[in-house]
Amino acid sequence: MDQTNKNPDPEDFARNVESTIDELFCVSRQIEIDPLTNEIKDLSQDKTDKGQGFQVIDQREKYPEEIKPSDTIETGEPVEHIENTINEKILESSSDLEHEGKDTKDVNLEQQLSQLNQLLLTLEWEVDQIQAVSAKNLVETILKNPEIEADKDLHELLSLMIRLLEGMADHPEKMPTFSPEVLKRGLDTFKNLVWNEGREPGARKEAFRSIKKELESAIDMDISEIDREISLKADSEHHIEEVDELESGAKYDAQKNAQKEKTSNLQGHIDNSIPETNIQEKAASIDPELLEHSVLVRAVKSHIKILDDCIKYILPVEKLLAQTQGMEKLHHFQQNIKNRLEEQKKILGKALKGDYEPSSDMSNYATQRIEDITIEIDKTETPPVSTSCPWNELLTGQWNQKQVAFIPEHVAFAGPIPFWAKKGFKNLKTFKLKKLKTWPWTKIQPMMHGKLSNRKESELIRLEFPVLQKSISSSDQSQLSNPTLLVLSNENKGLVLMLDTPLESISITPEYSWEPSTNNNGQWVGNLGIDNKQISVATLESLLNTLPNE
Amino acid sequence: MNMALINLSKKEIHCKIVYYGPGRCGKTTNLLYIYNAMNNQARSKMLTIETKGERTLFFDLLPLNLGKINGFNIRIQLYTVPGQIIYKATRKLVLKGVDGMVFVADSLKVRQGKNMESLQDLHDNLLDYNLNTEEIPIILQFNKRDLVPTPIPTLTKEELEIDLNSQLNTKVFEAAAIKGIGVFETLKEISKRTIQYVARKHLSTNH
Repeated sequence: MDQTNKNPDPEDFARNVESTIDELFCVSRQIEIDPLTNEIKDLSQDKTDKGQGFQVIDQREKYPEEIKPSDTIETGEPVEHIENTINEKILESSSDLEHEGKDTKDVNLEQQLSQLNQLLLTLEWEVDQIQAVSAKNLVETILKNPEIEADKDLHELLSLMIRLLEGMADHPEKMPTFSPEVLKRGLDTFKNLVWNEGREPGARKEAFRSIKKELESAIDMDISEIDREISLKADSEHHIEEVDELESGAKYDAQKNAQKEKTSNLQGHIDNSIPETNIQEKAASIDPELLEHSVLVRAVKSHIKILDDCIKYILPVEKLLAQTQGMEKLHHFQQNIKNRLEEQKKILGKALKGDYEPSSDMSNYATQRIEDITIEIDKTETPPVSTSCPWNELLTGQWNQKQVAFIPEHVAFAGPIPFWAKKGFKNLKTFKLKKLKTWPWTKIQPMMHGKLSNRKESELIRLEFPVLQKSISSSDQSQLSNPTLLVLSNENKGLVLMLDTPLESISITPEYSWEPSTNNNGQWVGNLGIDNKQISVATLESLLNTLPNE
Repeated sequence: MNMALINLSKKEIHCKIVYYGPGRCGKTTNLLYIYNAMNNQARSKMLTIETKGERTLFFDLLPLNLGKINGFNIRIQLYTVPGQIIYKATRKLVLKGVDGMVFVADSLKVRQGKNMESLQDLHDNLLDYNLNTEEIPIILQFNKRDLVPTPIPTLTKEELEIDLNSQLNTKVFEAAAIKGIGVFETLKEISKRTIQYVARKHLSTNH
């Protein structure tokens, strides 16, 4: 090689590098790594005894340049005996297991436990209903093992795990975050109890007690919230029934007592016991009321709170509907619901003070409801259109040499166009959504926003929307630095256009002036103005109006 | 833009190889195996920052030293990324300046979706750096092949090829990282490819 050359010949260099790599990058000692604990097993030392003598390497070194240069093995770190876990056995080939002469039943149990371990690891990663159900089914299968079923502690341990997995499967979002770890520890304890029978009974009991406590507390936290919600709901329903029963019961008792008095009077033996009986009966009828009074009060207060919350949810929607042209019917309908809720709230409030009067229009509710839906608004009485912009937030971008704003709810996709879809875009009349895939196995669904994000992948790849091309053809796509493909969608309609710039979100503050469009069939529904700038606002429908009919 | 550190005056070349893949697929296990099985001569201390549950929190780093070749000191730095979804930003950061990649795929059937998500994530991150998988050396490792004979459901090699290699069309290594199977084969291949790539790109332009 020419030593005066600053740089080596690349081919020669690569050849030398390859031979060095072949020489240096090779195994100098046989090891195996425990997949769960990352502990290193030196196979060269441990050929005859598979279960003992693990060397532990401390993996928490932080500064490679600062610590001692020699390997931790060489400096004689303490050697710890690590229990040979079931998973290590499973990771050996099944022929090795046979050679060791294991019982078939043990092998099956080991395999089941290994499978369960994998499922629990997956749950630890992400709680998924399907995985939780699979894990639960597997634990139930393990529980059916006669030897395990016969052992009280093992049976109880697995039953607790099943309960926790059931909770996880039913309400994955409500489970405490440490539940998968607890299940994992449960499995480890189970393995220890099964495979270390020679252990001291005291230590065994202690291990079992500890894991049982952990599982129970996880179950309690997992299920109690759900139970609380369910029981609150059930309680309030039950209390409403009780109120009805009490009312009718009280009436019945009063009638019964009146009848009894009558009978006794007619018969002529007025016995002190009868009035006493009446009193006793009355007292008996009153006592349940007293007992349940406090419960009813709580139920009514809870209902008032719920009504309050419902009214709060309706208010902003009602306000929006009041300001939106064409939403008069819905606005009236909403107002009606709100008024009814407010009325019920007042009635319950009065009932708490002992003054209960049912709503007068309850019996006509169905009729009233039909009227609400079919009510016709006199156009002359239409409330004036608000002069403030109907939207609080919009997304803006440059299109057709104009600053345009779109409604966020209509934006299904906004992003760079894949290069193969960019070509010939300006000649497209329609655009297939599957062109958004960057790789053949890319899923479109996660890219979508709004209602389209709820559609299945198989539906999305079949969707095709019309393309709204720019009317000003002078803007050359290739000169654009950051073109953004915009897909608008609402209900079953959609539209695709290419913006010159990415979308930006703007909040419509009072500084913005709003001028609704007078042309109902125009491209824009209105114009926003601020600081001498104008932004045209478009909806999907207004843009679709301008598509040429074919 | 790749960022192999090449100092012509000091005659040093440092290359960065990143092991990428979904969580718990065996990236750290690869490096652990290399660190523990390799001769001391070629490797430095391994840096690993992990969580309590033996998950990589930030990255693992294993520097390997090839020594002097043709007057140049060659150093390869192996990195892994945290695989969990929440560490997306960290993965992107670790990928900065990458010169070669190993995509480690999990052979467990339950992880099929995660493999593809992770590959898409890699693709997106490379795009953000204006890197193209067609340019930069990348090879695939199908890990946990030792689980194939067990009752645990695993993906076949063909399924993994279809999922992950239909566009990449790159070399594939089957591996069982806990036993070291395929680990050094993968390392050698990616190291050679990376150094060749770096040498072609930088040394030939200055030649």
